[in-house]
Amino acid sequence: MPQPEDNWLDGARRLDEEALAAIYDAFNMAIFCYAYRLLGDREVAEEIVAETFYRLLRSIGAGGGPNEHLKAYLYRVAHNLIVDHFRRHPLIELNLDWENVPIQDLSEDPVQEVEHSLEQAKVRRVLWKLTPDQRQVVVLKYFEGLSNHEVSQILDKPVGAVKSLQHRALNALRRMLTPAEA
Amino acid sequence: MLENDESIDKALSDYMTGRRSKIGMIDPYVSTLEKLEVLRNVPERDSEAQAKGRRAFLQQAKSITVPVSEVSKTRHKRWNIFQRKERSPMSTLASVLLALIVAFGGVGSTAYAAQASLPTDPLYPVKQLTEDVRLALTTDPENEVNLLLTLAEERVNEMMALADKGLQIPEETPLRLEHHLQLALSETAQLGDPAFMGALQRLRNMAQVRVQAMQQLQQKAPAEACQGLEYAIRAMNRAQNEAEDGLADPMNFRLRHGKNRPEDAPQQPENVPPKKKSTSPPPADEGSSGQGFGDGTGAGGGAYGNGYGDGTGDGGGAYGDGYGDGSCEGGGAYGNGNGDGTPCECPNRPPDGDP
Repeated sequence: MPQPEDNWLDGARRLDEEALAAIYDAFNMAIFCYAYRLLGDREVAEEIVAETFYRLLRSIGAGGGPNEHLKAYLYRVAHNLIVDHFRRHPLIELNLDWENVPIQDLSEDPVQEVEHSLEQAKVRRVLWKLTPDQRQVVVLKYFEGLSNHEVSQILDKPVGAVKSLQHRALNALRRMLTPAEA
Repeated sequence: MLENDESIDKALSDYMTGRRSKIGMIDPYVSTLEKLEVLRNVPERDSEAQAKGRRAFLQQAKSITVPVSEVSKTRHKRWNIFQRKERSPMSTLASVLLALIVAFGGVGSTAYAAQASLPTDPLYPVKQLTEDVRLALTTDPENEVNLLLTLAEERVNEMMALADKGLQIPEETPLRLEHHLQLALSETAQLGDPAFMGALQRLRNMAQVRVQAMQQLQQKAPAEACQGLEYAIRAMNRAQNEAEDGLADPMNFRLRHGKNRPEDAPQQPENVPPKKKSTSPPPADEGSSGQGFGDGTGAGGGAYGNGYGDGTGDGGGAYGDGYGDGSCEGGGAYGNGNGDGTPCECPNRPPDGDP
């Protein structure tokens, strides 16, 4: 069954503004959340979004780009950019900046909010200890809500492999996050 | 194993959709999944940045047919954003904090434990971060002044605790105290009259009590701690003097410390000198006086009849009915009188503007 993405892709290949705008509107927030959850920096997440969509345009302009599975393509590009950024800014420099504490959502207890930020940083750090495929499966499935089929498209692996990665990732996370129970 | 993968996948899907049909399979992972939840909420996105990104994307699409070299140039520029030239001033702190997380193996109640830490403790950066967040959250100016004074008291307590233990006071601590006090003065200048007077009284009283306590401690403190205490006492004394001046002459205080100066206030020069005053009597009628503004940044002096004057060069600053300062070799004048606009002939003059 043809998906809206297919129509958008047809339009995007003609550089049709309406189709490109629809693509941007449909996926920019998801890419932002994906980048933010892994890197914890709003500014960098915005840059990842901008670069991801720019790369889509560049590929289309060069006669390439995805023929199908636009969403998977965008997540793949974003993932590569996130990993590139992470390599340039090793784990110890992952951001824990008070500017990234979501001020507008803060309760009345800043100590609690700082505690929350520290916990986020810890979980983020644990995620980066997973293998790249395991990390993608956890984040894409558990946080982004993608199906096994969609994740398999992004990873370019069979659905069975995705399930296996997921199981191993959960075991690894359990060992690292709740060592007493594991 | 494959069977297990399937079962876990099904149980996880049920768990994520709120169904718990395969309770037995997912149970060992529930606490792990709950820990992951801290990453669920993403802070609200800057709508302006989002709209700007969209516009840029559509604009890029219009230029996508330009030659390849143009495209390459654009890409290079965007990618360079990742190499941020300006690092956030908190980046170093962030690194320290994450190192702490690694060192302590977890967060648990790190932030709470940090609240009792001293500047020499490993958890102290967490305490500072908490204070920064607390300040960022406080939007009411009166509450902000109160918080800044509380933080200033906390710095004094920390320094006294270190001195009491015979430890050296890190240079940063009295500097942070001074920063709190300066911010408190600046924020106080924005307050309405009743709150303004109350804040200055609290600052003055706090400074009096704390200076006395620090001076007493100084008698028995080891040499390592004395320098820090001395700096802190000077900072507190300056703040106390400012508070007393503000209580005596609120308008002048607002002029010197305020961000939103009254509309009828005279224009202030760019190179506003540090807030200091001469304790000497107003100089003799040697400089220019009268109406108008003068700024002497060279050999001459600055003079202002009924406003503010500044001389940052060799000359002096003068203020008719207020504040005047010569921050280099000239003299400063304060009070009702004329300033001194003559070149200085006394290079070894004490630094505080005494003629």
